[in-house]
Amino acid sequence: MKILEFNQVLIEGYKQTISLMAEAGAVTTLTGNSSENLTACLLAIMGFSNILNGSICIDGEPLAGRASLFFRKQIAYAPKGLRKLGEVITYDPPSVQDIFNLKVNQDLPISNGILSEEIRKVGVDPDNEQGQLIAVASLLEKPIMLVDNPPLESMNYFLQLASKGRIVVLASNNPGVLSASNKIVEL
Amino acid sequence: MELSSVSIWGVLVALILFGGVFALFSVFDRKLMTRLSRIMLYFVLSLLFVSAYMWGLWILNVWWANFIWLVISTVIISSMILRKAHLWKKSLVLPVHISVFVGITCAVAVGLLLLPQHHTLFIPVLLAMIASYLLSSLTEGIKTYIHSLRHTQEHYQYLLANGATHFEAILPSVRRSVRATMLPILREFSSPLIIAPPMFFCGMLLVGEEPITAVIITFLLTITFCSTTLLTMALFLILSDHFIFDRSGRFLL
Repeated sequence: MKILEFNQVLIEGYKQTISLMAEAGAVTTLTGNSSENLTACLLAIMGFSNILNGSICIDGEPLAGRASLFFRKQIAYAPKGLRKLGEVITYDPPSVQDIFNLKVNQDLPISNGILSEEIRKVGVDPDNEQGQLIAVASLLEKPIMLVDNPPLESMNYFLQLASKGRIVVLASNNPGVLSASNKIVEL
Repeated sequence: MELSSVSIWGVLVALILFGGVFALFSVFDRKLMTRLSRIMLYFVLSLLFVSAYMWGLWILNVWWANFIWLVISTVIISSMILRKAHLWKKSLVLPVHISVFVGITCAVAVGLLLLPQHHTLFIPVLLAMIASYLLSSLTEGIKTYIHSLRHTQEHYQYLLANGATHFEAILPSVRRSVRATMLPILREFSSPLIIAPPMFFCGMLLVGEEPITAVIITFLLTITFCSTTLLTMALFLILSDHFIFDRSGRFLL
């Protein structure tokens, strides 16, 4: 059974260390004062935040340097949303099709029908952008799923994913999401 | 009345014309006149400097002097590109210098193969021509690339987190930078050549080259310079990757 661990991790910009263990079968939710810090914590699992102390491990394997490339192969990530970035020049975000056109995802049996069905299972409105991102991340069939600020309606979906053997880590301050989670880690 | 190959009457008319324009500015816009004076002084000093080093290369007439000038020019061009793009970062200096050096060397080598008579002065002439392409195109390309990477971190992280390789994740920024590199070249191609042919073409006609030969050489040189500009940009993208991303794929600038 896969285990994701934070061992006395100090992320750059944080004042305190983080220790947690997330395993398959349970939905683990990170909560805290600042949503930016929660996002930084999720990004640290993918190797995008600077870790000053401690280590993040998957099955005992620490995240360091090139190991983050190996980590990311086991992770699917659904952010809060994807927006156009930039001020004077704006940059369009990648689309759902861009993710499915990636070389590593081309063999996955995905179609528009399957995606629509998955969005329905997530439990949110079909036009909800974050619902689409969650459905896309789920269809990639990675053992670890990270979701930033999920909608409350999708909690049953995450509980089902966890029961099927995935590690589900959420970042949220929503009381409804926290009460539906199996494990809460306060940062 | 002539002095060397320049007519003194032509000189007088040109100076009087310029003096008249200057006098007009002094009446209508003194501020612009001051600016114009400074720029003209810079222009004259630059021309004197160019003639000095060209004269020196002409006198020496050895390949190694031209090679030394090529190396010095590469350093100056690379520094100007970084300065114009407002990207004077230690990590970018080496990739820019190496890619510009390789690009210029390729362009000069192909240019010397194309030109009917080889004279050592052709090297700084070819260098000057490729320099103008590199300064405009590379500045835009590099600036666009770094700006795009800086402002699309969320998109980049999202792609990497969901299966993209490093190249797939930076591909949108690479596309934007290649487009930006091409724009100055396309602008030049779409300029009204019928009434304003390229300077090099006019220069070839002035030295007595046949028009058809001048057209062919100008065309071949132009496509050479375009190709080497894109090659230089591609080389920069490859070399800079190691300096601007760490081993875990995080953007460092």
